[in-house]
Amino acid sequence: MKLRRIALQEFRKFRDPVVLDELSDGLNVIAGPNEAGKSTLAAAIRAAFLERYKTTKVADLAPWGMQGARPSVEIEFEHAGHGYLLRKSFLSRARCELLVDGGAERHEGEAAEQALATLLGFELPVKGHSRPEHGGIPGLLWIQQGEGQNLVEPAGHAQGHLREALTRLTGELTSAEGDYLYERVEAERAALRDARSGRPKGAYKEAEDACARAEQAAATLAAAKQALDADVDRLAALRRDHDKAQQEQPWLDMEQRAAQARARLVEIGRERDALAGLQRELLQADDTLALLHEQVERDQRDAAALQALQAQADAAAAELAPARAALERAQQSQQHAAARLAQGNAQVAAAQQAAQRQDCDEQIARLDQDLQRGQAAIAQAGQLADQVQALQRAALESSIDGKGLGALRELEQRVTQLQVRQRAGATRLQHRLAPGQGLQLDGTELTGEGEALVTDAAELRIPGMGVLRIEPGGSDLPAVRVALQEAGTERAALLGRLGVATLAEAEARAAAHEQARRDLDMARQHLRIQAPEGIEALRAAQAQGQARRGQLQTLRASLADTPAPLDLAQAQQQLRTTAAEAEHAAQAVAAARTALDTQQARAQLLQAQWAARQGEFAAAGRAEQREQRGARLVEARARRETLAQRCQAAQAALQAHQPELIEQDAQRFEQSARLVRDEQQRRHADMLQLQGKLEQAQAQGVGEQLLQAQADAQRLARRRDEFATRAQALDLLWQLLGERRAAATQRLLEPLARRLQHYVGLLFPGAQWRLDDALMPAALARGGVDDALQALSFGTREQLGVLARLAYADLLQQAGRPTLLVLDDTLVHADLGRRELMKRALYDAASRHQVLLFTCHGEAWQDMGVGIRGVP
Amino acid sequence: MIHLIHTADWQIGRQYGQFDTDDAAMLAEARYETVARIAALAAERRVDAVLVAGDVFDTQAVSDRSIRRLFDALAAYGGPWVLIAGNHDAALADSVWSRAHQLGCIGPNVHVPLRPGAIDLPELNLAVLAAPLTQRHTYDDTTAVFDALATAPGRLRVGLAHGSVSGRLPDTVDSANPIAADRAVRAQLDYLALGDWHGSLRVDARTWYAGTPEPDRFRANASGGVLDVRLPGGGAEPVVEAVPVGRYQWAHWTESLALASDAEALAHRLQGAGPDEVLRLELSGQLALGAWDTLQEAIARAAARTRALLLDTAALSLMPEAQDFAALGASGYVGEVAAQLQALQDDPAQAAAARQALRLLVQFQRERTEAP
Repeated sequence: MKLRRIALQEFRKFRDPVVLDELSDGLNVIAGPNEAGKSTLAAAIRAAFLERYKTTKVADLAPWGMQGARPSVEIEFEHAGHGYLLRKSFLSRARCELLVDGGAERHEGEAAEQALATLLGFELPVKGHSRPEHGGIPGLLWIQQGEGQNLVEPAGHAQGHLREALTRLTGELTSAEGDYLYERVEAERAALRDARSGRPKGAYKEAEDACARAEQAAATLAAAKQALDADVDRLAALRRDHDKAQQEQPWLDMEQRAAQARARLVEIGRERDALAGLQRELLQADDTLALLHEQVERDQRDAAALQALQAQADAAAAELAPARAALERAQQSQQHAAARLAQGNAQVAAAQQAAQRQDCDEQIARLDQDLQRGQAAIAQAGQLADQVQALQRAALESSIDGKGLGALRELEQRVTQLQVRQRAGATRLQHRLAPGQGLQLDGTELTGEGEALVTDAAELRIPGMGVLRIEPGGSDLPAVRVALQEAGTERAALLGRLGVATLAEAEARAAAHEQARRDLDMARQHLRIQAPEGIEALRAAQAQGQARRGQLQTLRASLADTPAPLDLAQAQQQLRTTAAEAEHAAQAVAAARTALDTQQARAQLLQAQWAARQGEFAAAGRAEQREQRGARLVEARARRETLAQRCQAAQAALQAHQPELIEQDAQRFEQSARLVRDEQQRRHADMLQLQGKLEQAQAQGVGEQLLQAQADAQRLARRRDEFATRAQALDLLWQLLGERRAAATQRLLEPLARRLQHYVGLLFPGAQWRLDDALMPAALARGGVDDALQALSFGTREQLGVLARLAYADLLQQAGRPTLLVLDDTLVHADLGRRELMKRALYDAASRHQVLLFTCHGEAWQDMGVGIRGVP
Repeated sequence: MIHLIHTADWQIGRQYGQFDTDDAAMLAEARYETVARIAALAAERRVDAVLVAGDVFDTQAVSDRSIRRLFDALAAYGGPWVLIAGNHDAALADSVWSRAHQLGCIGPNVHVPLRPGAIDLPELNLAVLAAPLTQRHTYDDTTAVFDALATAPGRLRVGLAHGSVSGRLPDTVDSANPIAADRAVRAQLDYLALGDWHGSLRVDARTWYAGTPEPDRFRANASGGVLDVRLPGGGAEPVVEAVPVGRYQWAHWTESLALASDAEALAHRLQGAGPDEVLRLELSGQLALGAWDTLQEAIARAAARTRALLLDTAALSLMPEAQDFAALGASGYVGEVAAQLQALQDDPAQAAAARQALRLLVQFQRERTEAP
């Protein structure tokens, strides 16, 4: 397909008609700055073919702000030997017209659009805008700005056409058929087998499970049947044994033998009794013998005892004399000890007395001292008391009313003050008279030198002259004088009350009182020290002491003055020792006496005993008895011997019978008989039980159930096997189909793979495309590493996107489809090196296809061997 | 002159796992019906007695209902029945027989000896020497006692036993329950009625197997009937007539197909299969697709008509031809796969899977082309 001319009108920025013509077969580079209208041209080509003329959604094709615009496109192109002219107008008065071969054919409206769609390989939208899924081959090969790197989607939308082209080229089975079968087989297989593990699933699994369950059930029933059979056999065995036992009755024989043994035992028992009897007799004989033996012995013992007794009595008697001697000795020593004791006592008494005397003296001396002291104390105390009294009197005398004293003081002060005032206010009269002269001041003679205060009106008589009246001028002198008078009287009164003449006296009295009081206190204190409880107490004590002394004196007088050789302690010590000795001696005496007494008693007793015994022993008849007893003993011995022999014989005979063994036999037989009988009983019980159980089991019909279960298992196994066979067949079919399909796909893809390889080799030598099942490029393999498309950089993806489209274009062309490539500002992200490589690819492709390359970098494409055109 | 019906091997309770549940149920049910038919036949022919030579039940521990049904089925004939225990239903300490006794469903005219001995039927002047099996596995000849068993003078002696006559049966290998071939002579029997072999078989003039009255397996051995036996007495040979009483006929067809005509012939034969037939069809060989389709249709029709049809085509290979593939639309690699499978059918290791796979391929392709 080759575009020859493009004409636009009222199309976006091209309000006025614009024509791009003389487009060449291969590469056409149309350069222009931004906003020159490059994309508008590309959009116009798209709209002309892909958009329905009637659509209202293409308002953006109209120039901005133009009302009633009629965007129109006219495209002249060639393909497969035919020339085409397409005219399309949008929006107002929309039209579409397609002329073929200069009018030989004419299509209008939808028919025209449909013809184009069929020719170029795209779809028209049912309504609205043309969307990517309608793009088909043009959608893939006409790269819009910034869409170069998107390959998968546009390729996907063109897939049908691509596949068709490939099929046409390779002549492979329309994979629709093979795919259908493959998918069908896969689906059928998936219904039976789990995708990952390959194990049965769905109906197959159910069949297997059901079969397993049925087999299990059958097995269980088989086991139950087996158990039942075993029980039946056991019943048969029991019955057999029971009947046999019932017939043979083995216990009878056993019991018989047991009875025999018992009888035998009875016999033996009798013999044993006899033996027992003999043994008893023997025992008796032994007893009698022993008794006699004892008696004879006793006689002998009696005789011996008698002799012994005699000896004892003699011995006892012999003992008496020494005992007596011992007693005497003891008594003597006791006397000595007593004497010493008395002595000691006397000594002690003397010492005691001496001590007492001494003690008395001491006491008296002390008492004297005390009395003396007491006396002194009393005297002193008396003194002190007098002192106290005197002081008291003095104090009393000198007592003076404190308050009064205070008032007096005040008064004095006041007086003094007043006097001062008076004097201050008073008139001073100093006189120096000649001798013999005299004045009279208010009657007072003034002579010589002196001073006189005139406090009041006064008359001064000067003999021979007259009288002068002086009146002091002090203002308040009268008041003061009155006050002074008052004070004076008051003072006098107070003095009178206080009983003193002057304040000084009063003070002196007060001081004296104070002193007296203090002295009194001190004296009292002394007194207290001296006599805490008072003199009377002291006196009383003194009296007591005196009395006491008197007592002691009398006591002393009564004590004799005997000397004492030893002091009390020594005497007492000695006394203790002697006392102990005396005690000891006394005890010895007592002991000796007791010994003697006992000895005496014993001797007497023994004597008496011996006498009695002797009497008895020698009594008549005793000797005879003794003799008799001796004879009987001999007789009894002999008898016993015979008995013993008989006993032994009988025992031996009994031994020979082996009664223990026979006893054991009897037991054994009895037990066996019992066991056999019990066994029979048990068998009977077991049989009944088993019969009951079997009846129940029979009622359940296990055998029938088992047959049914087995039949079911058989059926289910068949069903399972059917599934298994089917699964296997599907596996085989799937495997074979898969292999073939893969090979077919491989063959199908071969041309595409080759073309892609050709182009990618220009950019990445040695690299390989990896295609997926949908014929889409999926990954790039370089140096042994697969990079998924999405993992590559933007620029690389864009470049690969262009290259892939070039490959698709080659393919489509081979299959006879129209291939026009439009690159709108593509490859802007290619670096210099890559761009150079891409140029090679483009150049190569341009030798086969028409390429419209819109770019704003015209200078970059100057080395493509074609002229750079500008946007009109 | 004694007129007897001799039958055996009723195998009541047998289950048919190789058939579908419904068919199996019908076949199992048929066994009871046949017993009823025997009773009706006995009544109709006014026989003197019916002798059943063992294996009345197919197993021990049959359900009570089955036991009752069986004995109820005997009702039509009121004369004496003698049933003995076989190896499947041996008279053990506890067995179907003791159960039947417990259930009280054995009528007064039904004799079920549980020990070898003679059953005297004075009104018929007949003594039946019965040898029921009393063990689960019997290894000695139970009929040996017949030799010494005395019966009332003048009685006709008829033996009734269950086992395999040594050396007389088509495929017996060291069988259990042996029976001496000359027992009839040794025990001075007028007739020896035997059971265990499921086909009607004459051992000698006086020794016969009645076979099972209702076939129960695909072996072709003349089963499906009872024996009508007349004993003239006085040492004369018995007159034996085989009377079919079975409901269903079991047949086993093994066909090897090579040409289309073979398939056609088979299809034709199948058309003749009737509702009382139980058919097992074993096909081997190879068929073209078209012939296969035709045959399948014939088989389907036959399966609908017959009581049951078991089909085994594991050894049958499909051989689609070029036009078949074209018709299927199996072009390209699908065709190649089909060819591959066709070849694999000859490989014994993969034959089964390959055959099935090829059939599936054909089926899927057909469904595809038929579907819109």
